[in-house]
Amino acid sequence: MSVGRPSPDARRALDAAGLSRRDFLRQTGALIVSFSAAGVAMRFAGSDAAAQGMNGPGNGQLDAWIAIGADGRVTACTGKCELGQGLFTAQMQLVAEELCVPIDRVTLIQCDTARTPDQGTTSGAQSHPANFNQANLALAAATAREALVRLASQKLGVPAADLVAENGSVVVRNDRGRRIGYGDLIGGRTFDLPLDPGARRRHPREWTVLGTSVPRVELPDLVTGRFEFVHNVRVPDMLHGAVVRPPRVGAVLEAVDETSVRDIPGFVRVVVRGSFVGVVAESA
Amino acid sequence: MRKIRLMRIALTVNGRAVARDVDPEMPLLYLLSDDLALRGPKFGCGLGQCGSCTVIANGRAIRSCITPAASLDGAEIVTLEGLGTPEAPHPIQQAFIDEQAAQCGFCLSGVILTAKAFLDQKPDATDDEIREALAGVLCRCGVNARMLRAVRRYADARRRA
Repeated sequence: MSVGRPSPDARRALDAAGLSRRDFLRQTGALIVSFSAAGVAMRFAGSDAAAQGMNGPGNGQLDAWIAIGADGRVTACTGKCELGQGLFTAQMQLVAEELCVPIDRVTLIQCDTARTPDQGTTSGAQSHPANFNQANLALAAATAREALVRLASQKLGVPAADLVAENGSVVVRNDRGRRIGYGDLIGGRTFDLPLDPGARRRHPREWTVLGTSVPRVELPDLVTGRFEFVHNVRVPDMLHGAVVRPPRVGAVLEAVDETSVRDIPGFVRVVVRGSFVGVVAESA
Repeated sequence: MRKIRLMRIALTVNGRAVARDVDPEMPLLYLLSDDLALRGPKFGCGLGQCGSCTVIANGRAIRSCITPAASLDGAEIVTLEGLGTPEAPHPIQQAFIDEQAAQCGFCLSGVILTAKAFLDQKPDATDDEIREALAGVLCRCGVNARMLRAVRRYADARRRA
């Protein structure tokens, strides 16, 4: 890494990324530039932050986040992944807290691209605020709790102000024998509601699940080698690619002799793009 | 180009007999991960320096990313999967659950299997000796203090048993 004026190849990298040198300096706040550092700094300063805050289409609908079964179990969806930061368990606590159900009645589905909200990347500190505070999963759970209280108010003929959600039911505050379970209120049906930006989060003084120490849900899978890291994902007919690294940054490719690997069983293709070389094969 | 002459090997992985024709230079890790779809041993550095690929071979903790499978013909291999299951974890795995001794968990093969193989050899190991045995296993999350507590908990329970 060099300190001083950006080297010619650093300037070319900045230009190629559509950033002026001034943009780069403003974002990183330091005149420390080399070819590789420029690339890394730009990714962290710009597009990554935007990708982490991303909210895909449909995320404003409650049904994208929360579903309640006829048995009263809560299934919640999140687009932010467990990466060792404890987020899976913390998000289960969040849902349990806002919906007033025991944590063992919450099922959380994370980062299933066919089912969960598109929340962009999970890569660092932004994964937590994305679903807490007054946003997304937190707001969905609070919206759902208030919707359940309204439904119970209609069914029981009791003003919503006299009702309280607790332990998977809505209860009449001054007549606690009168209660109705979430499964009976909405079980198996959709809410058909947008997230309510004014839905009331439970106050920290009321917390019984958030703010307590809950064992990490995925730990038994981690210690027994069952946890599926990204590296373990297998899909049918999956191919494997490997990058052929150059000896140094900025190296220019001279030649590729594909015949040197073509006879290896499972070989599929050599991919060359400029000075990038990759090999695709049927197995790793 | 190197001419590959495949070599027939037979070994036991987590109690299961496995026979394969392998490239003599192929690391054991590739056999375990790619052929047998085991998730316990991980590719970390690929240089035998971090420990995330650790397995127990004939009672010794080894780094499967730099150990050719061909050198382990006839060996008995144990990975995290072979110790216990989420429903019935091995006592050392239970100790790690009890102490909540993981963040991302990528290094757990190295930590748990190195500690287990070491304590199998030296059940009365002191804290310093355990620390020494685990010195070459990297945990980038920094869970080391909890991990040492978990190993201590397991070692104590093991001695009482």
